[in-house]
Amino acid sequence: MIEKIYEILEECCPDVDFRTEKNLVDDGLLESLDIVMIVNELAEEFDVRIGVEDILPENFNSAEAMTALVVRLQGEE
Amino acid sequence: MKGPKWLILFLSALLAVFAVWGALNVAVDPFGVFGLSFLRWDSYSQTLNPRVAKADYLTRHLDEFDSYIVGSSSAASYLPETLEKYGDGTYYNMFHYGADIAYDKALVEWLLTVDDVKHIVLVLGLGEADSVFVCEDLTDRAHYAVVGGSPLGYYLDFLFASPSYAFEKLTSRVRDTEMPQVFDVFLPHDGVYDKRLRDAESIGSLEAYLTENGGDFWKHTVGGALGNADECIKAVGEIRAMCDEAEVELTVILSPVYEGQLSGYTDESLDAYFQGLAEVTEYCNFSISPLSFDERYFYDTTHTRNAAADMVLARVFGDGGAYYPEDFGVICVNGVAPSVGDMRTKAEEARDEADEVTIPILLYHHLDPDTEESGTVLHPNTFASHMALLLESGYTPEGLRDLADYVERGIPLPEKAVVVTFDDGYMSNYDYAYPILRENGQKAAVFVIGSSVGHEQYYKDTEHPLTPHFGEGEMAEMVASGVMEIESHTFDMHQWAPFEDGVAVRENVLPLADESEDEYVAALREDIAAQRSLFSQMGMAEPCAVAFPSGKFTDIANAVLVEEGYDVTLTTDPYRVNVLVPGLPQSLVGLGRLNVGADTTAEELLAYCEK
Amino acid sequence: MSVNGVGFLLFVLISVILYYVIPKKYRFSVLLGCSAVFYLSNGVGAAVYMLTTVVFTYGAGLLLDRFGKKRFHCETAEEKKKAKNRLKKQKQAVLAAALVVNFLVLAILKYSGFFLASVNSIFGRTIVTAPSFLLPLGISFYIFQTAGYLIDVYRGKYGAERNFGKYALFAGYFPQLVQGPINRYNELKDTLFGGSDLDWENIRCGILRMMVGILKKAMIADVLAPFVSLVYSDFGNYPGILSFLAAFLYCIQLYCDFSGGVDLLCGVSRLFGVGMAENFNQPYFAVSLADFWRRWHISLGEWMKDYLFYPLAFSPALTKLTKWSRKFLPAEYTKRLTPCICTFVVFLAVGVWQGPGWANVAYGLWNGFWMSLGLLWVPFSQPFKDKLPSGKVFVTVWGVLRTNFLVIIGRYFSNAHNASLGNALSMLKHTVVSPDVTSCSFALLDELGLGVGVMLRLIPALCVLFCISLAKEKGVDLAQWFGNRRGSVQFVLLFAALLLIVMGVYGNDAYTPIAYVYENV
Repeated sequence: MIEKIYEILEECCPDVDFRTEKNLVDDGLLESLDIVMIVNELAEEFDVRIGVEDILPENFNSAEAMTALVVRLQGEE
Repeated sequence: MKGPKWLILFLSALLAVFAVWGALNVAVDPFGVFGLSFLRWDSYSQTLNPRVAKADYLTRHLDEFDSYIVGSSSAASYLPETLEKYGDGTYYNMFHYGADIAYDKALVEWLLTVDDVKHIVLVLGLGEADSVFVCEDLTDRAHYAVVGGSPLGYYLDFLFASPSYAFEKLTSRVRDTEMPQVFDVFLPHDGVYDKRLRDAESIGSLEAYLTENGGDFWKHTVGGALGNADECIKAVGEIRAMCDEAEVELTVILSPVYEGQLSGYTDESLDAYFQGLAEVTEYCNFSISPLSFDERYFYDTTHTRNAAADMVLARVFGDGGAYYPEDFGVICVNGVAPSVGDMRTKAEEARDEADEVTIPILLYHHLDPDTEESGTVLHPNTFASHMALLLESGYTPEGLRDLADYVERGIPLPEKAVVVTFDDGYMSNYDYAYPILRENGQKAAVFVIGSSVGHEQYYKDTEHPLTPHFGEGEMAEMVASGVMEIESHTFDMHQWAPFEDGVAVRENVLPLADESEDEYVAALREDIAAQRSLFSQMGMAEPCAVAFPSGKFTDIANAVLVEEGYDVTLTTDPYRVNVLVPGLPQSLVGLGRLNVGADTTAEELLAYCEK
Repeated sequence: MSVNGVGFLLFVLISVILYYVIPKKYRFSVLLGCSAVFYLSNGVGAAVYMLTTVVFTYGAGLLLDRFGKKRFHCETAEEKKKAKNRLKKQKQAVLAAALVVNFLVLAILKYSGFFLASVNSIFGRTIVTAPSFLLPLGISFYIFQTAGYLIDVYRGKYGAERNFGKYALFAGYFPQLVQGPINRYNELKDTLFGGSDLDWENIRCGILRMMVGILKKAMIADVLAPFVSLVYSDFGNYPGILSFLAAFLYCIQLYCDFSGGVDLLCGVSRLFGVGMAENFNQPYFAVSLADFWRRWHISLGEWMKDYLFYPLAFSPALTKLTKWSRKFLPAEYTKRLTPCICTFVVFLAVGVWQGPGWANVAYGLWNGFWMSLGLLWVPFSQPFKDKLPSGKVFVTVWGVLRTNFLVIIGRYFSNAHNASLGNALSMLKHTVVSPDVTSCSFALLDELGLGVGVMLRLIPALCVLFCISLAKEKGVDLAQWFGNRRGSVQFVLLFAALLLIVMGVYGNDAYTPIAYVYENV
């Protein structure tokens, strides 16, 4: 799953090295516009519903965190 | 640096700033309260805050004065110079900004303690009775010695006065000139405003004055009460008691009030104020008079002109020689005050009979039977025909001194008075005009250029030929006959550029290019002095009038001439209507004249005279 | 009480002394008391409005909190889910009601005049006369702040504040009242309610920051203000180039005014050991408009992002739209559709937040347009961008210039005379059609209040500001740097700054403070 996420991420933001950066939001590499794109793509790809309350920096700081979020949401469905 | 030590560093920097602040105010001393003399500028300090600066000035010059004029800015027009004509006191005008009777009282009290006072003139307006004065900022603060209070608080307030005052003083220092500017309007040795420029203003008809000074400016207020009248009356009573006790002569004057300000109060409240004052002191009430209805006697709605104050003083001290209107002012003695209604009726009647006159003034130059007539040259016969026309039409040519006597002393002029003048002082005036005038029993005035007097052949020291000018002998004869009056056309400010070698040629009294105001004033004074000494060498009376060369002039030129004792100045403006207002010397300034040349028809001449 | 006066400094001094004298536990009540005094001194009427909002949002917060804590005792998972949904509906209803009421107050007080005037102009005659309301100090700041609090409580980010005094302090803490920043409850509560110990570093940094703020405002913003307002209100009478100059100078004025005020008040807050949100980060060094908005009025931007942008972006309607558009649009654009729409809405809100008037709406749209365009442009520009050497100075400078140009044009709208769109457009037209550079003389500038004397004061001040900003941009902690200088150097610098503050600002009658631009927003 994480490879698919890398793919999505790199498509959205080609300038960012998602494999090494672990502090994407706090370091300002990801902006709200990027997050919206990413969330939409993730929702489409994995068929989950990501709500406003899930938009927390800790959920988007790294590809791993995003994977965890998707997994958690899939579990809740 | 960290911790509380840093705070100490911060606080010491703050302290240093306050030290610099205080030092600046002490050194520059815009209010003149700290007494260091190296930047002392009394006129500036008095302009900023007359209360403090005058108390300070007086402390330094107490022995020079023994009599004082006290009041708010309505007292500003009462000149020590005028009062000194009427008594043996040496006067200082202590007037301050803001109608504040409590301060007047404190001031009198202070004066009585610090000086051996002879005479106090207390000038009141309606402002004192209107409301209590509230001191809002440093420019209204009073000296602690005068009003009591702690010296510490007083000095602290001035020590930490806004630095803008000090900066203002320093920049004003740079811009300062001999003539007054907004920042130095006081004559510190008298305590009055320096009105040289202001009072050289040319005033003609009331209509013209109102047009020039904006209709809104003279707006009328609507009837109300004199809220502070009781307090004011009480304070005046106390001043009277203090002076009586100290055996000091006290003159209380209620200064002329403009009708627009009068209308701000009901007759009842004015009556009560006038009556109340009469009960506590003898006083002279000039509040309602013909002056009240004539804006020309006022600088603005609340300030009377110096000329009006001079008339008041002439009336108070019974100066028969000076002009003032009939029934001017009421002396209130024994507790009796006139009713407002009576005063108003009388003033309005007098106003309708206002005795101002309109004087046409004609201007000629050279007369010559052999030259073609032009703007400045006429055939002697043409001139003779004009004089005959005046005679037939009932016009009486008068001298300029007669005009001055009318305005200053009220000596009447004949009906249909006119003035005939000649510029430059050509021999032809003596050869042709003088006999004609003498024959007709008419008068005229010749304005001579001092440097050309007696030059029959050449321009000054050059070999350039010029139209002959008459000399000392002709002048003496003409003056002695009473026909011709000799006045000034400047000593050497009517230069003929082609004949001068200097770079800076003065063709008229306008300043030269790049001339500073002070240099300009000095040049004017120098020329006036040269003319004066020429006249005295020739044993003639000093001139009282100047005709501006080419009719060009400046406010400063008028101011300097009036300051140097000239009464009348003349231009070449044919549209200026010369309305002479008795008691108003400004009506003699900037008079217009019609240049009579070859093109001027007899009809035009008469039309001008009848205008 | 005006924040500009000596009175305010004395008030702060007394507050600080009181604060550290009182036992730690009660220190927050000193702040509450001082805030009450401060607000009341600005008018009792305004205080009533504010108190109403505080009481109302406090109650709403508690209510939302109670829903959040509710436990379910249901037999089946199915029932539990149903109960949960029901609860969620109720919670939503409470939040919606609370927000509607909260913003309705703002809307009525601030925008009713504009709205009714617009209605009247549509009908071409006066249908209703607009009532004039008293606009409480900093109303939009406290309304936004309490609204953010309610949404956070709803989202379960944190529990509601139970102590009314503490809640009132959170909403009405006086340093944030005049012009923000819009603080977050979770970020503020520890230092605000905890009562910090006296830390001299806080005092030092607080004082320094206050000084910087005062100087920015007095030495730059208020010096530029007369010229700017003169040209904006009467641009037609001056060469068009002056309109551009005025818009350019307004950018500087507004930054110094707004950030200066925030510096002063953040400094004050620091004296109490309370760290407020940062509002500026050298905005004019931004390399793109998006960058600018991350650096300008940050607390508003963050607020908009969390409480408007995300909720909108993840709303069912937009999610559906995205899904639907996938069928028609290339993926590149589908991805960017939602962000574009949301950006437009957010900037519309930012524009309207500035105040009533069509020029403000246009200002929002101007920004929204360029931001969206930037977003849609990426697929085109990316290959080009990849070829550019990154990190080169000229690329940065080009970015800064381009961004500032857009910002300056934006200022034609946001500061338009009477907030009129017509004025903004004719001023823009005037600039382009008749720049008339030749008739722009020193004499004219002097007449407009930008004479040599003013320039001599202004230019050094701007140079110092530029150096400070550049150092901050490079990551230098200036307070730290300053603290490490020798005592004598610090003394001289403090002396110079205090000389300007004491003799040039507070003690000088010739200086008349001008109200903060965003004081009545």
